[in-house]
Order: sequence, then C-alpha cells, then structure tokens
Amino acid sequence: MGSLYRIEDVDFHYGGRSVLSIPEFTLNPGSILGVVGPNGSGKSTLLRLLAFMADPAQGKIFFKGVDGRKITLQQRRNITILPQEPYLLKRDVYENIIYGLKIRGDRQNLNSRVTKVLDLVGLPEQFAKRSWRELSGGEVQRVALAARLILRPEVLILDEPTASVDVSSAQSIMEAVLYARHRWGTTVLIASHDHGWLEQVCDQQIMLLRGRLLDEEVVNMIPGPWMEQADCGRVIKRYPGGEIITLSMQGYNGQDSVALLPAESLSIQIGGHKGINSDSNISADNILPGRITALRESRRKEIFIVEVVAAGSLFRLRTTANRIEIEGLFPGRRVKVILNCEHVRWL
Amino acid sequence: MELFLKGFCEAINLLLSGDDGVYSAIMVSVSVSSYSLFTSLFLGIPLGFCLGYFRFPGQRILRTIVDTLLALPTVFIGLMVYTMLSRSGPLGELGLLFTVKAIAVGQVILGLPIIMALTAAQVESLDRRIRETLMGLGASPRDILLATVQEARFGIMAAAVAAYGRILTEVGISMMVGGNIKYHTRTITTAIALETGKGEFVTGIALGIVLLVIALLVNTILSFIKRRWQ
Repeated sequence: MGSLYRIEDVDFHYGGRSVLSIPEFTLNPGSILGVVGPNGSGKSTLLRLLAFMADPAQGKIFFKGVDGRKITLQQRRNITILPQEPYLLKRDVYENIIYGLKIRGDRQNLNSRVTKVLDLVGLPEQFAKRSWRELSGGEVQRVALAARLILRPEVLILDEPTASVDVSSAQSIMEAVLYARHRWGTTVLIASHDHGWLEQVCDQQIMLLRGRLLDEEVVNMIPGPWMEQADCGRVIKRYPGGEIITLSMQGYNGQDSVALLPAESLSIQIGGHKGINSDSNISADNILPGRITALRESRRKEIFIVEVVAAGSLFRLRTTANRIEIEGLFPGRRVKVILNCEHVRWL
Repeated sequence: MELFLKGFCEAINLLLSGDDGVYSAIMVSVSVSSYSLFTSLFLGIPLGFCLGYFRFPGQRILRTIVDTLLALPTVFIGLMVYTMLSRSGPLGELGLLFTVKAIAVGQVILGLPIIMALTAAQVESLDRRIRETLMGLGASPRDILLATVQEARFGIMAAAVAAYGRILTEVGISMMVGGNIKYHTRTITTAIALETGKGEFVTGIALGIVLLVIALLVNTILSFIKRRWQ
C-alpha cells in the first residue's frame, strides 16, 4: 500500500523564523492520525501544509505521489480542512452545508444528503433552515463539519475540533469521524489538546514541539527555567513547593530548554513501594508527590494511560489493566512519580 | 407648522391631480437617479472590492483620494461636467449638455466614490477566516471572490442606499448640466429650487414630501430584500 502523504525535509518559516521542520514523515491512507503538542508547536501549520493551503519554504510534501506544488484544484478538492474557528457563510445552515458541493457542480439529491450529514453530526433535519446567526459555538462546529462530511473527502483535516464544544458535541464529532473512516475510507488528521478524546479516536499520534516532530506517542514535557550545575554535568529544576528534578546536561540547550521524558521513563510509587515502570537507578531528587487525576484507555490493546498531577505539572505513564487492579491505580489516589533521567532528551 | 401641513395637503393634491409637470419631474428624477445608481454600482462594486481586498502599491493613497471624493460638492461636480460638456469643452461635440444624460454623468461621478469607499470598507471589515474556510472547502480563487462579494452584500446594499439618497436629492448637478428644462430635464429637486425662488413655498414643500416618499419606498424595498437574504 503506497503512502498517502510523504514529507521530505519540510521547513516552514514565519517572519524569518523556522516554525516547522520535519525531515521525514509518511502517512498511510485510511488512518486516523492525532497531532498533539503545546500552543505554538506548529500543529496548525502542519495541517495547513497538508491541506496545501500554504507551501513550505523548503522541502516537499507529496500527496499520492504528486508534489504538493503541482497539485491541481481537482486533487486539492479531495482534501478538506476544518479550521480551529470555522467561519459560516451568512446564509442558512442548508446553504452552508451544500456550498462545497455547489462549487463542484454537484447538485444531486441535495436535500437527502444534507439530512444525512446533519444526522451524522447529531443535528435534526429541521436545523437546515436555521440562519447562521442562530447557532451556538458547538452547533457552528458541527454544521461546519457537516459541510465537509457531505463532500465525502479522501482526507479530512480537523484543527482543534473539540476546543470550544461541549461533551455531547465532542462525542458527535468523534462518531462522525469514525463513520467517515469506516464508510468512505477517509483518512483523518486531527490536531487537539484533548488527549483523552484523541486516544479514543486515533490509530496513531505524533507530537510536535517547537516545530519538531517527536516519534513517541506519549511524551512528558518539563519546561524550564533550569539551573545549571556544570561541575557535575547536571541541571536542576526547583518547583515552588520545594520539589526538585535533576537531569543530565547531555544535549541541554540552555535554561529555557524543554526536557522530554517518554512515558516509560516514569514510574509510580505507592505507599513506599515502587509500582509501575519501577527502576532502581533513580536519583533521590526526582521523586514528586502527586495524585492520580485520570485513567484512560489507549487504542493499543490492554494499555492504559495514567495521568498524575505532581508538583503542579501533568505527567503521563503507561500501564496495563492488570497492574491497575493490583496496584489500585485509580483517580484520586496519592502516589509519587519517579523520574528516570537516563532517557531525557532536550529541545 | 401651518406651512408644512399645507405642503402635505398640497402634495396629496398634486399627486391626485395628475399634474403633468409634477409627474414629469418625478419620472425624470427617478429614472435618471436609478440609471446613475446602477452605473455607479456596476463600476463601483468591482473597484471598491479591489480597493478593499487586494494589497498593492499606492493603495492607501488611492483609498484616501476615494474617501476625500465623498465630500465632493454637487455644484463643483456640476461645474466640472459643464466645463467638459459645454460647446468649447473637450466633450462638447457629444451635444450632451442640458440633457438627462449629462445629469447622469454628473450623478455617477457623485455616486461612484460612495459605492467604492463603502464597498472597500465593508470588504476590509469582513472576517479574515472567509478565505481559509472557502479554500478548505475546495473553492477556486474565482469562487472565493464571488463568495466574498456575497458576504459583503449587506454593506454593499447600505452603500447603494447611501448613494441613492445622495443622487436623488442632489440639486447642483441637475441644475447646472440639466438646465431645469420643464418636461425634459426638470427633476424634483430643481423644481423645488424653482418654486422656492418664485415664492411658492407650499408647492416646494409638497415636492419635497414627494421626494421623501420615494426615498421611503426605495428603503422599504431594500429592507425587504435584506430580510429575505438573511
């Protein structure tokens, strides 16, 4: 099976500054890819590039083997993007939904198709007559999604689709996305901060940080400022509560660097006994008291993500259902997060 | 107050009596101002759109010039058009002076900056997300332009209403290049000026009320269209 997208040495600049740099990346058709990362990490830029709404300063993006710079309007019409804050035309919902079909000259069975996609996003048929000004934020998001689903796109790109919607809208969006993939083989790319929602909907996730692609699915980021202890080759982060993290300086880029620790580098200690991912080779400094705040199922079979808030920061670890039962790793439980600094990477 | 009441009664009488002079002035006013408005819209919407949508060198200067032209006095426009169309002027051979076409030329010069400036302002104030959203739906550059104009339709309608009001009620251009010839180039406004000059205030007020009724009708129709479009 050939790749749908192939990225080669892509660099994108904004105001003379590189905001995205991806040496290599491929995406297979029919997959649902989640893109995570903090604000300003380049998620929206990556999605815009993949929607061919902008050209990279350097490098190439291939779509089904065709160089993005040579892509035709007809080919681009196979890809549709839902921006973070979608704009609805000053028309009624029906006209908004069929706009994409009209510009493609497709006017067959419009009424039934509109009813179908409204149903897909959890809105009643009567909604088609509503004016653009009568919609709430969540309804705007769902109507905008319906306007893209009616096109039965080959690629559906969603930028923060759940950022300003309630739980029921987020659920409707998830069901619509899964339906599109199941029925039409649509490849879906989603940027979101909603890790829980992404875990449920995506086959794979990539993480962007400062415009760089990280290959791990679950990475814990520890931002600076760091204090250097050059004599012993280590850096220290001191939390307001007195907790201390000590990490190796290898690869360190300055006091505002971000330390990256994969989920496997963290373990949990319960009541003085080491729990998941335990490791004996740990610095005494790197033990942070905290509390389990969430437990989520990963799309990987039998793997769960444990979220712990410690020293005011969120840490994410992987574990199994069996260990959750044995260790009692349930939300609300007080634990200690242990950081193994051997696998630290710096950005 | 008595004068206005008399004027109101006279206006009804004038309309009911079927006075040829009054109906001729009404017809000339409505026809020439409508023609001028449509020409101004035909030229002004694309020009105003380009002025507000695209970025090009000298755009700010052009915008300032167009904005300044909003304040053009109608007498000055009348004078300029008169100079151009008079027998010794560069366009004198066309023989347009003291015709309704000459009035239309002047009124287009009056209406064009209004349509351009207000259309440009409306396009500039449109949500910047429109382009990205339409591109994301697979729109071509032509589709984006058409949809953007459509999104600006309420502002363009407001521009049309403002321009029509200015064109319908101007007197300087009609008087100077039309010549106020009865049954030919006399408009409601030049008739009001004439009647006032003769001391016939009641007839002047009556004609003014007729003018207001026409403006009311136009605005009612446009407001109906706006509601339908929403």
